Amino acid sequence: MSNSWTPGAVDALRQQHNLPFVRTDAQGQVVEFNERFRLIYGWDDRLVGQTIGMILPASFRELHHAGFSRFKLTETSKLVNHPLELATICSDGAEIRSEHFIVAERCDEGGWSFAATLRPLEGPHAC
Amino acid sequence: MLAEDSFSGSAEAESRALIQQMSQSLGLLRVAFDSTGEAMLIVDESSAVRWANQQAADLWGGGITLQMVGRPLSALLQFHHLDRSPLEDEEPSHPLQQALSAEGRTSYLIQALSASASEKTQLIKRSVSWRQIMQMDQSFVLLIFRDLEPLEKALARQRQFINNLAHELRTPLAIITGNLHRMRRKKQFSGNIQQSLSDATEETQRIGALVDNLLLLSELDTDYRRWTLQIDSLMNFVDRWIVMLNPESRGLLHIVTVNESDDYRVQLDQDAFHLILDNLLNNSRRFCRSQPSIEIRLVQTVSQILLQFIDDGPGINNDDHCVAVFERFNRIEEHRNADMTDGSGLGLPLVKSLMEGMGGSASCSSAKEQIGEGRQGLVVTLYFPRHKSSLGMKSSI
Repeated sequence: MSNSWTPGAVDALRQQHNLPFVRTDAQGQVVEFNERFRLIYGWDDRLVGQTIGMILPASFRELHHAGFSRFKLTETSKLVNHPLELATICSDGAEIRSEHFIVAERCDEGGWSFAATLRPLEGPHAC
Repeated sequence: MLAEDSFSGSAEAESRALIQQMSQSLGLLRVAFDSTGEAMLIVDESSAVRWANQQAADLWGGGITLQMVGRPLSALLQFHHLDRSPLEDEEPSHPLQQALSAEGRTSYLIQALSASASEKTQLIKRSVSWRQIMQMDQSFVLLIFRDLEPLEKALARQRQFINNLAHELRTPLAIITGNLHRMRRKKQFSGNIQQSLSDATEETQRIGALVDNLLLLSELDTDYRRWTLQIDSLMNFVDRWIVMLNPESRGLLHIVTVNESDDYRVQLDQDAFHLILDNLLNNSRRFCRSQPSIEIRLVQTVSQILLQFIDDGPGINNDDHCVAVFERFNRIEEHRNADMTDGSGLGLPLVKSLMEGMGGSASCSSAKEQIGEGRQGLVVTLYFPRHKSSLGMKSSI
């Protein structure tokens, strides 16, 4: 179980311009994403303010929400800081197998911020 | 307008608070499920994992619950019988197949398939229980895997002790039986001595049966019995048992089906079923003074198929005794008879354990209570869960 929250982890991911990047606030609502994310998965600015569950397949949402709520209670998670082969939902509903690398970081205000790179493993942008 | 705005604003705030509360509850439940020592999985109708707790992920999902979701159960783990032979997905004794009939529990060896090659060969023993869950018109199966190692070890020691005891007793019993048979063939013994020899033979046979029953109960207690479950009409299973009886025993039986058109399909182990009926027949023969008349009645209810084994013996007139007859080595005082050899005291407990091993149960009552005043006898009712395919549900998960 990973308990080490590296300062600057979110920014380190943000700098990887070749990979789709998305960040949420402590409530799991999308705060920002990069151009690569927009290009590969087709989402536009209307995603900002929506739950991150929107880009996850329905079958994962249950465990995602439960895990997210658990993190707020225990501040521990096995999902962060290592690659996970999952899937990402595009704006048109298509599903792309992708490798998620999730990090968590405590903000200056004391809340949590979550970010992930979503490397596509199939389709024209697979890398 | 202002009032409407304030109303919609407060409704939105209430909804947000409700969602936050539900989210917190979900998190608390997740913490609780991950804190148990048991591995839990929920599998959907296509045998794919829908939900897993942390223990299940640690054993079969590389530690990440999310990565188990949507994957076929058969890609994550392989069930094995306790003799290490693999259990195929379609076998009736596979937990997902058994869950179609009733909830239950038994022990398996389990092999992780998604683990690294070195860990793949390792089989771990778990007590697995299964239960079907219906939620929003969808059917799921909850599987719970318990590590019963300390208890299992104690039971295994007990089983080993009984195995050794049985082995030590069988040889002298065979020698005594052989000698008694030889002595009974000698004509010079008086009638009294012949009677004593006959009593001694019966008593030796009783001890032999006791050893066999103890071994079988020990197998059932430790889940070492290898069940061969088959699906067929209960009527056909009964017919196959009757064919194996001698003509005299066959003449005692009368079969009644309440409604010929009913569907009596059940899932059971034929050898275990024959043992159950043999025990019930022996029981009736021992307690009925003359030749018993036995009725086997098949009844269909909404969720179960019942087999009622009704004799015309003294029966049991006390509700407490109806429960006590299923306790091991318990003999009912009202049935003690100086002229009669005692049974092993394990016949009906064995019937109960065998029925439970097949996902059913057993009870007994007086014929007066079941059939009506003026009728004497004992009714032993065997309850078999109806196979789900008979209930119009999907026959495969």
